[in-house]
Amino acid sequence: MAVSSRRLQKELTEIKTAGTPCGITLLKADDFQTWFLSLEVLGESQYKGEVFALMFRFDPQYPISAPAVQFVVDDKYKAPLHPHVYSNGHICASILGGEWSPVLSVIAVCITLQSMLASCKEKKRPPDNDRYVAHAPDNPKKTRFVYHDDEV
Amino acid sequence: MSFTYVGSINDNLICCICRATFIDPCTTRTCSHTFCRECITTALSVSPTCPVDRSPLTVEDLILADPVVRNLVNELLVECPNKAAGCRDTPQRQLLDAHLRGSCEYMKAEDTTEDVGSNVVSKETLEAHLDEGVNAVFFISHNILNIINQQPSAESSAVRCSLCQERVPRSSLSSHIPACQDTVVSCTHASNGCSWEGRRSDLSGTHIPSCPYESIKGFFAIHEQKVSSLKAENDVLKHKVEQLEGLVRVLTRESGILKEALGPWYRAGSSGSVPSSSFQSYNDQILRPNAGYATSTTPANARYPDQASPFDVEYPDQMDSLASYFPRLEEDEQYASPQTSTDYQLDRRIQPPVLYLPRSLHPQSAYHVPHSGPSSSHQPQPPSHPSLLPLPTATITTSTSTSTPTLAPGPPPSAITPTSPIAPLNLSGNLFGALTSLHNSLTTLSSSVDSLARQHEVHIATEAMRNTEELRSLRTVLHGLRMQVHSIMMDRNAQMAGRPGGEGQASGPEINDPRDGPWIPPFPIPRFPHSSVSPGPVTKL
Repeated sequence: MAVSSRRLQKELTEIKTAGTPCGITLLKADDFQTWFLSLEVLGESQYKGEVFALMFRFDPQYPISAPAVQFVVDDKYKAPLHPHVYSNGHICASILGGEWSPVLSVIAVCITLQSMLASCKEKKRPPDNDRYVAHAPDNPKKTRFVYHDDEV
Repeated sequence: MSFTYVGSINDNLICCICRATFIDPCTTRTCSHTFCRECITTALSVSPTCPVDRSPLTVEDLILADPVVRNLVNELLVECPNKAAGCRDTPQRQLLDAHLRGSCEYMKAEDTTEDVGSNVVSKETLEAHLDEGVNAVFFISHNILNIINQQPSAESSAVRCSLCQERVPRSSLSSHIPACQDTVVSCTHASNGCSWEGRRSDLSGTHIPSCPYESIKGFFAIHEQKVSSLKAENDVLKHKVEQLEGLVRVLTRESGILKEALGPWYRAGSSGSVPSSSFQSYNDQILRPNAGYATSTTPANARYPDQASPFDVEYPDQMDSLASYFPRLEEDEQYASPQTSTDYQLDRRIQPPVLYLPRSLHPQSAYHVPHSGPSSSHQPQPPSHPSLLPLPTATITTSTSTSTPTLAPGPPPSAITPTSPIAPLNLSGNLFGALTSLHNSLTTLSSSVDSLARQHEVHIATEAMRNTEELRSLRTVLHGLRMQVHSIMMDRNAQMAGRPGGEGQASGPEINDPRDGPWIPPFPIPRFPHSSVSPGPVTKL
């Protein structure tokens, strides 16, 4: 078994036995390539009542290499209006790029994104949203994000 | 290789990267986090940071995890992989491999018939063995053959030695190999040059009787002995040479340091005569000042008894070179001693570091001090060490202290403060000479500074006195004026009183009688404006 498969198997068993945190649910995890989870921000926030979906794509080097994470944008789900989330669902988050650590897990990423949304003060798109979306690659890991502000 | 563990595993034994129980755990030296060796090595190849806290980390910072942790993990019970076949054993993880090789009864058939003719296990099997996660150190330290043979409950499966075709129990195979008659060996005298190789049985039978090296083995023994003794001697000599080399290095370094320290005074080659003679003569010069020293049994003379006569001869030469270091004297008549003999002339020359102070500031008695001979307590003591020169300084301080009370009758300042030339550094002499000349210059400097200080004091004192005088006279004048004004005002008051209520009290404020108390001036004195305005707002930090 590849390293990623073993690790994902472990994570899956953990989710199945221990469950997911509040606001996060496992939608689909049939293989060890792509998983879908739903995300909702609880409590008082700008995104009260909104439900989002996250798509995780793993490569054979997981967990050494970070998974490709983006919000699902289709007829059912939309990308949240957030200064670090582009309209195609790509996320500008340090832990998905340079700050990824093999210690992190799928659940950890979901919790981080949940808190990122919860702490948002202003619902708006990133300043270069249109330009980025026009030329964005399919896999957000191919993008060289520049992490500007830390407050949002 | 993944194991199926029996029971639940403590979370502390789970690697956070692979989320499995540790396999060959190592801990980071810098932040004390533990991971499987493979997991952390792979993670570091991507990002040289600790996955837990992102602190900088390299593979060099990894050390074996604590033995406690390793034991905990190694002793975890795992299910035998042959569980499907029926094996219900749950050995410790570290013993699983041994179990599979030996005691597991459900091993597949082909695993037992291994070819153990070769003395070495194939690399692939060894690697596979290591991958099992068993404590590799424990096994590698043993003879490789023992790995195969180590079975606590081994069935004595007989194996055929591939060479002699003899059936040997597997456990004693290792002892059989050295004795196997068919093993290929080389001649016992191979070390001496014999290149024969063949079966062990042939060695004793056919080769030895015909081996040419066999007949001269006595010579070989003697030769060997000689060679070894020579080698031992060689070693001893080498050691000695090394020590000597070290010593030489140390000495060269030290001499280099000395050279540097001496600087321009370093004389390569022999100039040994120069230092000693100049030192001695200088010593004697200091001691010489008067007849009393020259012939008295002072300790210095006793020290250099041989110098008593010859130094008279070399005296003048040395004197000339040193004379330049002594400042010129202005007046000669201050010295009461006779000046006829040249010797004494030179004596006086020597004196200056002691005596050189403006004559006006010093009573004659001070000058006599060094002249008075051994009886005075201010005598310069013979130097106990060539490098020490306590004499002039000590004398100067005592003489200056005695001169203080004589300041009052100050002669005109113009006759005071002659210049004190400082001799340039004489590099042509020796180090000692240069140092002494410097010292002398220093003493002259200090004496001139002292004299300057005295003069300054005198000036200030006279100035103060004059000022006081003048102030006194001014005060008297002022007092007189005040009295006059007072009398005028009194007259005026009397006049005013003669015309009461006329022009009112135009006499001005009441005049206080100066005798009554503090005197209030008859006119308003402008008050000095106080700095009532506070300085600008303080800049807040």
